[in-house]
Amino acid sequence: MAETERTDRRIKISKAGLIAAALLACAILAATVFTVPRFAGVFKEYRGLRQSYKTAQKELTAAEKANAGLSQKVKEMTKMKTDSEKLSKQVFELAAKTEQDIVDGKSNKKICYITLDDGPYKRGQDFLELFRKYDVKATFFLTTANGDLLPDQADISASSVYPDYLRYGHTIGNHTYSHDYGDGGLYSDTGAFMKSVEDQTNFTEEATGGYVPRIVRFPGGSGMAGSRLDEIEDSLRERGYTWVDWTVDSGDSWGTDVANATLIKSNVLDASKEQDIMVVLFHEWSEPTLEAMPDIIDSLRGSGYIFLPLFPESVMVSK
Amino acid sequence: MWYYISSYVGIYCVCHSCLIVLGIITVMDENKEKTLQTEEQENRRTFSRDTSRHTWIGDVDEMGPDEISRTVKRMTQTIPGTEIRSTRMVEKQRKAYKGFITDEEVKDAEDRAEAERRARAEERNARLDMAQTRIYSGLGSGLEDESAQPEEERKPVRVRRTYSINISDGKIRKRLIALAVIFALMLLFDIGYLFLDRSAAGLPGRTESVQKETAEVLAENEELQQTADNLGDYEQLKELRDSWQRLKEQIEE
Repeated sequence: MAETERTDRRIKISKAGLIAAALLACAILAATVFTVPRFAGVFKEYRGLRQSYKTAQKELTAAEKANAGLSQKVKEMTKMKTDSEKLSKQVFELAAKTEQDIVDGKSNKKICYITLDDGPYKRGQDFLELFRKYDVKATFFLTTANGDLLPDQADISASSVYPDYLRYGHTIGNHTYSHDYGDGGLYSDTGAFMKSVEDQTNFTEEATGGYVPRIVRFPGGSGMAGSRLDEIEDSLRERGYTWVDWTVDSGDSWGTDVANATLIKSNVLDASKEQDIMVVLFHEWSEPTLEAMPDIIDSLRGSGYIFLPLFPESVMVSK
Repeated sequence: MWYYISSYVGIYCVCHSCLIVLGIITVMDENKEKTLQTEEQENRRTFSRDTSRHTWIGDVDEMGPDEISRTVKRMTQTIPGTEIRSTRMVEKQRKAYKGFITDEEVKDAEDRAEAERRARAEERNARLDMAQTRIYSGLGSGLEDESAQPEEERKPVRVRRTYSINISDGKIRKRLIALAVIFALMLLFDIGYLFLDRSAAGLPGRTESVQKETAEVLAENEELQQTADNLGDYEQLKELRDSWQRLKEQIEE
């Protein structure tokens, strides 16, 4: 049976079909004859181009990955910066209220404003590191009396270190541009004083990218202004400035033969027994101050003091 | 390396295809020859039978008068008009090879068609004569009725020539399959080449587009990096925020 079936197996194809099949076969053969010698070249070219394409894609993927990472980082950093600004505002509002409560006798809290004059100095970086370590925020009254170079490190530009003060949340105060309180200096003329204040403001703005130091400290203290004090205060007020002196002199500027860490420490701690809110005068160039500072912070913190940077709304700041 | 591989494959395909085509043509020729031989035998057998000049009596495969050995079978019949029974050996009918239709078969078909056509024409003529007779005898015109009917459309006799390939022959079948596979492979190869060629043509544009996009992303990255640098150090910012938070909590206590 199988034999019979097999003998009947035939393929019938018409003449047109046979011609079509032959033409198709010829076309395929011709295409193959055309293709074979070119295939290697095309394949090699394709491989090279494919490699370039893959490399480009890898670069794009890497760039996109980096972009995503950077975007995320910038987003987080922006948020942290915004949060810091919000928190600092809240802190100053709370501090203003607390100060008022302390003045009114409604609060037993104590506030200490550490202020350092005459910067920037290279030693300022040591103070910044110390404050970072002790989680303390202070106020730096900066001047450009020494030009745009650090007095204790002549190869470092003064303006380059300005942002460092802000980076740690400290307040930059205005200690006039010239700091010249001698005869014929700042206090000889209100205009000269105000010019020096404005010059220092401009310098700070430029160095920090927009920060305006609104709290002024008179070089040598407001007492140095003498009879011109009222006039200068009016001018400062007119131009939106506030000013502050100190309630405690650490004594670090009393002369190198007198000032030492022990004296500075005792001066501050003795004064603290009588003051719930105190503005302590230090100087950035003073090495004994740097030496005494850890003990001062520890002792004052132990006595319940909160260390704050000065802010224009503070009761300690004259407006 | 790919060049050599592809060249070898191509040359192999071409050569093998040619061999296969040649083989098939040879087999078809053999078949044709066989068919002719069979037809010749058939003709001789028919001649012998029709004229009754030769009767093969004997066993199977007896040699006939034409000196061709045939397969025969025994046929018994009664002679008409008598009660005499005779036995004769008749060549066993063998199927002629039907691979190709012969010109004679075509001619037969055409003759048959011509005969049919003539028969129909005669029939029509007869009907016409009858109608004419009816008119003459006054029985009315039957011609009009007859002629009103359209003449049956003559369909041309179409003889479709077909080629029949016997695939019961294993050798041919295998060769046909091999040929089909090889041509399919060649077609795939050609399609692959086309695909590669097209892709190669499109790749530079795509690469350029990707590179352009990469440059844009890199520029954006540079801007982002600058923004990040302006914002400061990540850890310092975090530390600053935390320190403000602690200070706030200290005052709130």
